Amino acid sequence: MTAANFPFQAQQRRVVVTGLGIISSLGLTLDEFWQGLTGGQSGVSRLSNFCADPLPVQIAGEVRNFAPERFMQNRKSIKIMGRHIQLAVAAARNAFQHSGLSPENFQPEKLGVSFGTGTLNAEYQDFKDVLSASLNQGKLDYHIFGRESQQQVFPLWLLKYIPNMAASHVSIMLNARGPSNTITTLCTSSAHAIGEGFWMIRNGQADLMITGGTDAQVTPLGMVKFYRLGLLAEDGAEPSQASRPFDQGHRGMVMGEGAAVLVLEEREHALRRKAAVYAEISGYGAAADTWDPMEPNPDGPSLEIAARHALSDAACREKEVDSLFLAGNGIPFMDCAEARAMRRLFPGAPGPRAAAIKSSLGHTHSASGALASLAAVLSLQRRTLPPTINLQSPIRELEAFRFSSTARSLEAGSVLVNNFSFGGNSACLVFRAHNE
Amino acid sequence: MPSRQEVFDKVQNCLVQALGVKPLDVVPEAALVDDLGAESIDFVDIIYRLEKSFDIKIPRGELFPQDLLRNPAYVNAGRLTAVGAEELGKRLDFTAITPIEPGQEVEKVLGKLFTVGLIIDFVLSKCSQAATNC
Repeated sequence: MTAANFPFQAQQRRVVVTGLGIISSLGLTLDEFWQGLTGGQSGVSRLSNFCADPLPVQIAGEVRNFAPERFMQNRKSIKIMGRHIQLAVAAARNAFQHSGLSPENFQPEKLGVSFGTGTLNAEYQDFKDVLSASLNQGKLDYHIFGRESQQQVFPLWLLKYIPNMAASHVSIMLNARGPSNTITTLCTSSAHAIGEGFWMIRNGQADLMITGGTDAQVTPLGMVKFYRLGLLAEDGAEPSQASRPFDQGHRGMVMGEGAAVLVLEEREHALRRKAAVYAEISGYGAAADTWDPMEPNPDGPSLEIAARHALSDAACREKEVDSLFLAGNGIPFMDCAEARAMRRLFPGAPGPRAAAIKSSLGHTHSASGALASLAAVLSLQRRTLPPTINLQSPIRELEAFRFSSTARSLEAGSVLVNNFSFGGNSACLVFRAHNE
Repeated sequence: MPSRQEVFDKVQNCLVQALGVKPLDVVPEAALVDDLGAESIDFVDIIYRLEKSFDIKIPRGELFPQDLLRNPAYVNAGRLTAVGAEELGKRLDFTAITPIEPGQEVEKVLGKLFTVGLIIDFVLSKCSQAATNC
């Protein structure tokens, strides 16, 4: 596909990125994150936010030193925010400040929110009292539960966890009266959210969209859920070396948490207010494998389709792709399926330059697409591609791809960001350096 | 029966938890809405915490008369009717308040009416009815 196939392209509204915010295991500011990522640091370490001694896996990319009250306009709103919502609101606030937007330079009706979030992160401690009180000879007695729950269950409990509450709080905080949408597709959630937000601006339904994703599944139950599915890398001697996407020694993913937000803005709107523009978002595509609820099709066809759609949407030829931000999470069946899809898309040698930032961050699930997109935008702005750490011997399918263990310069081309979820759900985004 | 000071200490803790305010802000004359920033969603939380702290049951509408606000016989165009003012006075017979005049804006009345002291009176009243140690 080329631009010539898209007669409407010239008339479409262009969309740029004018604000970024992140809360991550590598730091709570853009500079901390970027310095850590490009410096080859790892956010993965031994769990510290809760006691994990008996857990079979005791490492994760935790967000540390996060004090939610620093980011909240209304301090008591924290009580109705699960941790994933707190991370999202903090990242959104940072992104909004970074964008330089203020109430006088946008219409609230044209400012929307599009967020990716994950599962309803119900934690068993929320129900500890009522469940303990409802046991009758070792079994859960619903008669007792019905009575006890009226006094023991926190009445605002549901508000802490409903998936759309991250977007709702951000809308309220920023007086965003446009669309307030949430997508929950696990690892592809935030990529879908960014893509749909991009299309909303391009289609004229909004001038500005606060887009991104959040997840906070580094909890005792979250760790056990993924461990029981056999998806976690077992602890090695050094936690920072456990996340090994595309390495022949990959053995599973490492849990991570965080939130990232991109302020997307119609280009003319941004130029009128003389906003700093960090990159342009130019393409989005999505597809599904229809193969299995957990494992993708081993050949990764949905990822190839999503990538081709995104490149077509961006009117970008494969050879114009400077770099790839791969989804690679270290789970062998996911890495291999993605690698085969990318090999079909980029069959030449040498292959494109590539980075897999989950090697540094672990898998942040619903936030991962937003973190990778934010990293891609910073890469384009700062002309630097971050390294892939812990990659000593790439799997055979990606031997031709150009990874690096250190940061290196990036040309002013386009960047393709892959996102790949269980069951072969795929979403790809294309960003390019902003052309003045 | 707990002493008034014991009730105050627990009520103070409930309000600090529910409203995110400092303990020193929770004084008997402080109004929940006007002084401590309570919003409608917080009243559900406050009742939950009072029930757990004092082991009492507070039926919906008993302490905070939300149902009264939605009844056109009690509130008309945002102002208390004569019947509404009388009903509100009856609901709050556990405490000593200045007689409520009809015609006042209901939001303003409720913003000032529900003080920390009123909550303490309510809890003491409930504890005496339940004849428990609360």
